[in-house]
Amino acid sequence: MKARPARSRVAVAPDVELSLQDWGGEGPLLLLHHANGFCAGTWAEVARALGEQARVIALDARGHGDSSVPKGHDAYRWDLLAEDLTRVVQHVLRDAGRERVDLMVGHSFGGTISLGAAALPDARLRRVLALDPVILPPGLGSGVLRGNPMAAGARRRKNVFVSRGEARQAWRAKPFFARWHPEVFEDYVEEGLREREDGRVELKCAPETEATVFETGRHLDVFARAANVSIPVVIQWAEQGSFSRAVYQQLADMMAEATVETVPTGHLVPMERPDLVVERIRALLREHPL
Amino acid sequence: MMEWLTHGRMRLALRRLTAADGPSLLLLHGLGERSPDDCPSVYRKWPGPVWALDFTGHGQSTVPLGGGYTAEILMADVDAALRHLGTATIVGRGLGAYVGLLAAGGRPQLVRGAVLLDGPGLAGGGSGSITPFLPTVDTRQPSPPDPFAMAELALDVRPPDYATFFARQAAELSGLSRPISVCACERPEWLAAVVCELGVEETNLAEALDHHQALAGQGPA
Repeated sequence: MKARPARSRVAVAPDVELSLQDWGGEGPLLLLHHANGFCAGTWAEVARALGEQARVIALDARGHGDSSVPKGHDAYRWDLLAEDLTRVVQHVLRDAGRERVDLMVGHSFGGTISLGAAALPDARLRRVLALDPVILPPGLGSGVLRGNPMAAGARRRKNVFVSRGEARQAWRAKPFFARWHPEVFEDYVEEGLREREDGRVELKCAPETEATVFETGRHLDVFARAANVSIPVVIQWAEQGSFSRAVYQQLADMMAEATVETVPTGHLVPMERPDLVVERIRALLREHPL
Repeated sequence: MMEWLTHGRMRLALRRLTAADGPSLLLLHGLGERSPDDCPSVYRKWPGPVWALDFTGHGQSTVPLGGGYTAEILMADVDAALRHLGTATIVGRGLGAYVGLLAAGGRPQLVRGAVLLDGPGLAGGGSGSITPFLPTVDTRQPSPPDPFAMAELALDVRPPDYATFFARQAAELSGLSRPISVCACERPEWLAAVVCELGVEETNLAEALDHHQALAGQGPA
């Protein structure tokens, strides 16, 4: 287990390289996929807590963190992001000399991407833990709904700050961050921003990219893919979030071996309660030893 | 425990999630959703039974042939539930929030206030009238929810003055102080207009439940 993760890049498509953070460690291989607008660094607290119990690697999705920022709306289709994930899995397995990723953990849209990737024939995942994934009722993921308040909210987001100190102060005042674990908050201040040439800092994930990702979910229909998910899946429903547990259950019922659990948090599960995420990961690793 | 209601040719599933005696709380799901199997923890403190209704074409209720959905059809689903429950406080998500508002205005003596939450189908099809059309329906989608419901109810027209009429009816005829609580963050035009009405309060779910718990104990003024 490294105090600071090793960073590497992997090419997943022409002109698209994704950035990985590898905290090292022995034991089962974990791969972590962040939520829209966030980055690999927001998993650092989970990685630190797992310590030597697992080999923990997190990725930055395209347009996020230190990964490439391809142009155009279609570059962020969620079906492409699921293929990116599959390529990252292949790369990581080759690099680590392993056969399978033992546990794929994805939060929010990262959970949806993880479930979408688990349905692909060359998934090479042993199981999936999806934390409050973005799952709309069947038929609504196809873009039929009018307007997208999440995208509109993202486009209004302030993305340049004088310094990390200013960002920290501005974010602390916002209800969105009110329930964040202090360490995860600091990790996000550190990793979610990059220095600009003019000395100020900006969000690594530009508001327009975040908004685009909110608008491109329709191309990944998890209900259509559910029957192809044959590995064990745990879907955690955040009871103070805004998704429907009944819809999660409907999806789980279409998969071979999926269960839905309730967690007592808002939608930002790993930001609010990284301890609960770590506890669940440990239990899953105990249930399914190598 | 499931109760079965009749609305025209439809059989509607009304699920009782808790067994307490007292004023009823009725949960209305969002577009494409269905009722929860268990009572969500946030409603467990409600001092009476918590119920959840599956709208026509959703959950365990009948899926009709060939569509024909409007928000008013679902309002009548709620009316069927009110005939069974007597009076109830409504909490609606997304489309269920809009339908809950219509029911609060349409049956102001029976609906003891409504709480409007975010969820699928909150926006509807906007304010302007549209050219009549037959929706393209992907019948390969798993059903329920009925793909016709998705196609028709995601695009139904919601004029702001129509929505405010129901908010005003609820405020004037229910005898309740602030009967409508808006907890949704999303503000389609109809809802933006509703929050400007007297008797409508913007708040969060925990505070809204406290307020409506107090209202549920009151009779009509």
